[in-house]
Amino acid sequence: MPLDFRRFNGPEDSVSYKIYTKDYLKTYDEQLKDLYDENGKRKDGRELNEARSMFARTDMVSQAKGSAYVELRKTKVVCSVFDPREIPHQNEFRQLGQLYCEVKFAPFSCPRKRRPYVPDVEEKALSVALRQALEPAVCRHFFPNYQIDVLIYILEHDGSCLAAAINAAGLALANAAVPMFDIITSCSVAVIGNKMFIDPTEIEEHIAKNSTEVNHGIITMSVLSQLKQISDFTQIGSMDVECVTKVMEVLLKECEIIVPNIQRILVVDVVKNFELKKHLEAETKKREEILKKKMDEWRSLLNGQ
Amino acid sequence: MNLEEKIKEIGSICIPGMRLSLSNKDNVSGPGTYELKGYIYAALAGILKTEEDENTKANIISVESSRTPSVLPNTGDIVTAKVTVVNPRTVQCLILCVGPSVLVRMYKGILKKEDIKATEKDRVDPYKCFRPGDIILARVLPMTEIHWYQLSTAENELGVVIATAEGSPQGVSMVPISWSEMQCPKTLVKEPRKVARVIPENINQSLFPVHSKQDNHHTDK
Repeated sequence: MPLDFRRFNGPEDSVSYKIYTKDYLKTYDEQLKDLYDENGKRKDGRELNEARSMFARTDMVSQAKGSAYVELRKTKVVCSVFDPREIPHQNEFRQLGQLYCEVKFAPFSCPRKRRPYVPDVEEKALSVALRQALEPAVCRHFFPNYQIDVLIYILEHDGSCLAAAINAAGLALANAAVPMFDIITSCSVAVIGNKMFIDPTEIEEHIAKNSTEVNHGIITMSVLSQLKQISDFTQIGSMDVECVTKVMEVLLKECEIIVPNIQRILVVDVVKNFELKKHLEAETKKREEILKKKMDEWRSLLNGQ
Repeated sequence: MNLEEKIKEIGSICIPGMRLSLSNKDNVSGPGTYELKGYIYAALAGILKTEEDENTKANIISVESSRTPSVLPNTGDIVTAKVTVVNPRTVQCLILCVGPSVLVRMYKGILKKEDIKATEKDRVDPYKCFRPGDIILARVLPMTEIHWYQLSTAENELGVVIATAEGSPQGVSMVPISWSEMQCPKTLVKEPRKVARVIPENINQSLFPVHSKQDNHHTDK
């Protein structure tokens, strides 16, 4: 890991304390058994096919044109969207606008290691995946030769980061009044052997990535709900075709389940903005009345002369 | 429930992807919507508005969002811009508003010497039409360069709207005295500008109504 020269780093041969904990020394089989108990319930009490409850809200970042915050129990993601700006270093004329997506983990977000300040390979891969998921959803012909910035900051990483990021980005884009073809929802599944963990936590994702079973890995899928189109499909790991098709069906259903929540948030957003507008208009009316009274006073003075 | 009452009061709320109506002669898609496979869908989260077009008698279906939509000025729009640099060949400006909506981020626009006036295009001096700091109304021309908007003020209604004379205190804007000259009310300095023919604000008329009795009164004094 590249050294951060602005901070005091420990001695060069220092080693993380975690390698001395009991958890680290467990074998793969023990870790796998830890994930779920005899009743089929996972470590946090969920069923294998139960997704986490999502909390989401728009208007989180005041400096951004549009923003959203999504929480999937412990996974916390903030997204900000800005107005179209000129694309730096562009020479050719393009009919469609671009989306500039940047995903960043906060240094304190991951449980296993500290994230560096410079975007590393994993963050760049997430940024590309996010961009591929959002491009079909945004009406890019409205801002040719310009780009819209979508910046994601992950405050805590407990699994399903990409799914949370796509949900947050969809909400933030709608909040920023960027023309979109449809609202976008996303969900992910971790596969270990013949078991499917819907909406995996960080431990489940870690084991799925490093498993040696025939079918192992993580699939994240994002869907445009009304148009019934899949906008992106990301797979990490190795799975055979039947497994992939089964997982896809499950994911399609899961993404449908999130849709009413997102719709409700957008409606509440519109209502809130409408109320704010009414309040501002009432205030301007009051001020105009005061101004009018003063002008009447002056007019009577002038006429009196 | 309180939320339900509020929703009923607002009218029809739309979110992106909602199917609004069929797309045919009677229903045309307006701003904030898009057309796909014979139907009109909403593209923004906002309030549904239907207006009737006078010429074609069709319903223009549009979605109005409380924030300025993240769109760029289109060809043919009238924009409000602030002049930054005046050259013998071009005038550079920053686009502040598109029509009635104020932009959050200003875009760069450029006005060529030939597009300033409709007549006598080659004998025009940009310095006699605009000065840095002026607020102008201009129309967007088809885009030729990537990040600069081509503008034109070659119409009577376009040109300088607000300008401050050199040496005058801030905030005192000049009053037009002809189509090519403006005068500062405080220092009485006259400066050449390409004035826009904007319909006068009602506010001035109601403050100082012109009555014949009043005029006689003043001339007596």
